[in-house]
Amino acid sequence: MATSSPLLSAEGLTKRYGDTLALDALDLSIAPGEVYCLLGANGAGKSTTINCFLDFVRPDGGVAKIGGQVVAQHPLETKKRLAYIPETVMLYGNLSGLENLEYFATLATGARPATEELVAHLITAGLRDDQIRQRVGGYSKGMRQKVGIAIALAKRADVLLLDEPTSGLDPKASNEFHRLLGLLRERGAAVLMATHDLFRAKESGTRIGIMKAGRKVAELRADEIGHADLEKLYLTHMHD
Amino acid sequence: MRLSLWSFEWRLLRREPLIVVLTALLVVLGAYASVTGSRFVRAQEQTIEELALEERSRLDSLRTLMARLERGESLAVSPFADPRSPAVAGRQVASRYTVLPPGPLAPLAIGQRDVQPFWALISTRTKQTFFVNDEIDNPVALLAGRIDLAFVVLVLYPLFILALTFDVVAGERERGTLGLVLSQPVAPSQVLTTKLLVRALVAVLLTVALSVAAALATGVALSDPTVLTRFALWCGMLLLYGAFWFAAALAVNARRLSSAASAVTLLGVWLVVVVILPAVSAAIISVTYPAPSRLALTTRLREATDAAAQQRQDALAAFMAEHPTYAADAGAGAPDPNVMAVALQDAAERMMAPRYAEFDAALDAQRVAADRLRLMSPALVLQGALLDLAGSGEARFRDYERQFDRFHSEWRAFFNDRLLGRQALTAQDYANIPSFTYREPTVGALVSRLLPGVLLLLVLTVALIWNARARMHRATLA
Amino acid sequence: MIREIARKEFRELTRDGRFRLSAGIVGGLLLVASLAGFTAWREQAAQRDAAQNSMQALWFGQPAKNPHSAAHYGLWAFKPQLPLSFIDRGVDPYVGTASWLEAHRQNEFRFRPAMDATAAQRFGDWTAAAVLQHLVPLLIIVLAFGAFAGERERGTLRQLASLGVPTRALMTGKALGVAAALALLLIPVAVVGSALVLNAMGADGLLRLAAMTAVYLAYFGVVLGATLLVSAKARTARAALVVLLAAWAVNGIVAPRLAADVARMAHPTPTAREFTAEVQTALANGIDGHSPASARGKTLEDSLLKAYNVAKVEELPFNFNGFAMQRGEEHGNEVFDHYFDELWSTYAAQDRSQLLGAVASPLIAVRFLSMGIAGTDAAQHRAFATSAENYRRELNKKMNDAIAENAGAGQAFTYQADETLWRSLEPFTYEAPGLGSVWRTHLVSAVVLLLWMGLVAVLTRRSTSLAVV
Repeated sequence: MATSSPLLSAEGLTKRYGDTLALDALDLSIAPGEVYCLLGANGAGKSTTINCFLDFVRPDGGVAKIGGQVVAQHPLETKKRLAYIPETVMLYGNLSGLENLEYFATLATGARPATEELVAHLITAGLRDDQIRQRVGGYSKGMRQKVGIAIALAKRADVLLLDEPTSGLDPKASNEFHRLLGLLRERGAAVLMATHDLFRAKESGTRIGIMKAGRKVAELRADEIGHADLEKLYLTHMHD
Repeated sequence: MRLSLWSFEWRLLRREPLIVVLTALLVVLGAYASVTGSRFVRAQEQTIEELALEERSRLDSLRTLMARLERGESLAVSPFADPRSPAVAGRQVASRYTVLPPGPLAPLAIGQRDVQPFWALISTRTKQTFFVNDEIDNPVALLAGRIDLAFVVLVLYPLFILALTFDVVAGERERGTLGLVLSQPVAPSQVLTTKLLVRALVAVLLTVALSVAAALATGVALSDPTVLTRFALWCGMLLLYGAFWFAAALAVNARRLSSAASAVTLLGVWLVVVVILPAVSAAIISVTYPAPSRLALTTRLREATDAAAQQRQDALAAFMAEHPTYAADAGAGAPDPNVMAVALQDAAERMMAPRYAEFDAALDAQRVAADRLRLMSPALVLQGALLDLAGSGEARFRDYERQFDRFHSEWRAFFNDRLLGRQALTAQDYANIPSFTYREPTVGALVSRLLPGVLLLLVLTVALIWNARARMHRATLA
Repeated sequence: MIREIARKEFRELTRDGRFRLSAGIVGGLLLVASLAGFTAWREQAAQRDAAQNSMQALWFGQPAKNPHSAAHYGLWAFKPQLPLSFIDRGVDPYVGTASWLEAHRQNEFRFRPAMDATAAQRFGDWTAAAVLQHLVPLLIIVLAFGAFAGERERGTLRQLASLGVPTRALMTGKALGVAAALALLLIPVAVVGSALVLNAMGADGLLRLAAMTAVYLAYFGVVLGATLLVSAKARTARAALVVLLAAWAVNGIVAPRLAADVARMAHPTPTAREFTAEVQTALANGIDGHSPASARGKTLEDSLLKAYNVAKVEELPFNFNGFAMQRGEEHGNEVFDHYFDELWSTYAAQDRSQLLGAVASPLIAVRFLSMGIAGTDAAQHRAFATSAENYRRELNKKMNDAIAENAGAGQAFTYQADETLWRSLEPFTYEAPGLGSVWRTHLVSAVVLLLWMGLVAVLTRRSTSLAVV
């Protein structure tokens, strides 16, 4: 899989905030159908990496590329194919789930998609029929994540940037989320997920990278390591 | 896509309870303001109607009296009320009213009309003794000011725009939606501009709609093309003023501030533009170009009149030298007391001429300074423009005073010529007594007064937008 | 504990660049307004004295003439302005500061400065009062809107609550902290103000300044208390700020105008034309409308002839015309008293109705008190106008009596008096009403302000429960 041309890549990505180095020459390459899990302590540079792919942060050195295009040079084109799901998908509380999706899908595709199509995406993402037209103000965290997935579906995103998407979700919701993630992966999406959840990383990731102080200190295939070994490896890196 | 974005923004806006409340408030205040404006104008119009009625009945009865006298009926007429005497008629008996009617859009802006005299009963006497007829409104109420549409537009409309726009970016950042929005393939500037434009448009359209409703409800003569042009200019000024505030909101939103910091910043801008700069400009005017004192002028006039009376023979001699035809057949003996009065008045006014010129020059200098200082603040620009367009400002009053001065000379000439020519007034004369109608300035003159302010607003708006764009290019909003 | 909270609040504020900037601006505006106002006051006082003297000289310098002509010649009376008027100019621009005194007519409101002012001046004068009434409350709002709402958002309120700090202590502490920061700004201005007032007016001035300080401190207290209350109740700092700004706009901009309008509708003021017409009619026909001047003259003549038992007015021991003119003046005075009383009571009724607006805007009450203490309110203008009017009446009586006593029969208008008569009229002097009369006039305003203080105090004391999240 790693042989096909990567959808997401970082080449020598460097970001500096004053004296601290948030990213230190990070190299990363994620092919279609891969789920790459970034592990690391708080402040290791996981979110900064994702923000570089979103052009929310401009790197001081190196490039972030999506589909071969440099993000900083083509911010709008690269955003056409990506979907971003942060820890909590914040939506407009005064609009319903469907209206929110309608809005973001319009922003994403440049045209207003048909309502039936959007409803279908929300159902696929796991929302119940009666929830779709409720105002988001009353949504749970899990329901918001589902709208996030629906946005990715509506956008036909083949790049997913997930920033701790399941932290704070109950186990059932988390499980459901990862089921949906599998669905997107099967459709050929490249997924970059920052997470603290070693178990989930092992379960639904294809590759795992461990970051520390802006550098990638280890990278391995998820199917090459057991749960216990992964935890040991992680802790070893954190300690030295 | 633009269009669907707009409709989403509109939907978001409609569901914001605070905005709904503020809109309702603005509409209620706008409606109230037009009621205030039309009541005020109605009261002045009623006074004007009463004046006209009084003048007509007085002149009618004089004409009847003249007809009877000319038919040779023998009637006992007091010399102080004899309509045949040019001196008596011109001084008071046959006086006409000079009226500065409410301006074409007066119900929309009361402006200075509540402190300016708007009528006078013309007389051959010196202007200072009768020109000012002050209204007697409660001074505390005058101090508080009025809620007319111009006030709503000037003070509350920018607050409304700012309330709608201050946290467009910061609010979304704080609520967390900004990240999701900016992860979509749309330029941040486009998102921001759309959001602000929808809001600004709501505010502008609402204010224009309020103006139209007020104009229709208060009976502004929009069918008259010049009035319609003034009204169109009024709406244009609202648009420009709105654009300025929209640009200010854009510039502040383009900075990465928290919503509270944006609010405080924009409030500061509002305070400077709407409160502090006008106050500073007023202070500058009152220090560097204080209004000349009408009281001092009146005092000087008394001194001049005394001086003339003390040298009555000199005054009379000078007068006779200027009116040789009268002097030729005056002969010996005491002069006609009426002629003597004219001669003394003439002498006093000749002494006063430099004072009057000083007074007028001082007042004009003050107006010129005020016009220039308007350019200190967009709020002053708009206030000046709205009052000029409505016809409730000081420029129109000054214009009236000038037209009044011309008419005063004409009036004096009419009666004094007959007095000096020893002609009694005839019924024919009574048909030809001069009358005064205020002539409005042309639309062209108005536009040229508006122009510098319009340019200022445009420049400021463009500069603010440009600054915001530069900022958005340099840094991301997320 | 309260001291610690206050100290922390004070420290936070004074270290904040935004506080320094905004307090610097407000303080600067206040100081410049005070100094400029004071200079203008001194200049105007000098001008007024000069005008009063030259007016007096003109009056004394009249040549020998008929006393009635002298009465028509008349003179101006000028209103002396208390030094405190530099803080609050009140209604002066709308009533003028001079009164024209002549025969037969009571004049008020001649040559109001507002008439020749520019429209920019209608935005409000830049006086110390304007800064104190509008900008300082705004500063308080900006300083204190986040006192609770901001801490709630940052999560520090949770910390404080978990430490068991009582809400009341928190409220008091924060209030004291903000007040201390404000004092930093206001004390220097107050010192400068007292120095100016002391210099110009002595101890009585300081008493007035103290009264004015008390009024404004009470006002700031109300604003501060209300701001902390809103901050404690609002869910976010943003909501607190929006609510407070709306309240600020209502208090300072909308409510006073609305109240003035409503008062005008409740008690309509006649137009100048209506008023003059009514007065003229009453002068001609009597207040009751049934005793025309000619009839009054006839009655007077008959009663005098009867009382002195003579056949013709020429045989009376005094000049009939002089006597009749004074009777005419007295009739006029009755008419003026009647109509001006009516007008002024309309104003007073309007002012009372305006105070109803103080339910929404404590500023309305504060404004009345401030003008009153500064000596620039409507009541003190009226006191001046009344005093000037009495002087006018004295003047006319002197002139008419001189004719009645000295003019021979039928020589009422040819008799000439000289400087001795002009000089027998004492120069016009006017003593402004004292502070006691100001309190009496504005008792309701003072009570309203106290009620506001009480309301805010009760509400803050009762807010013992504070939503932490």
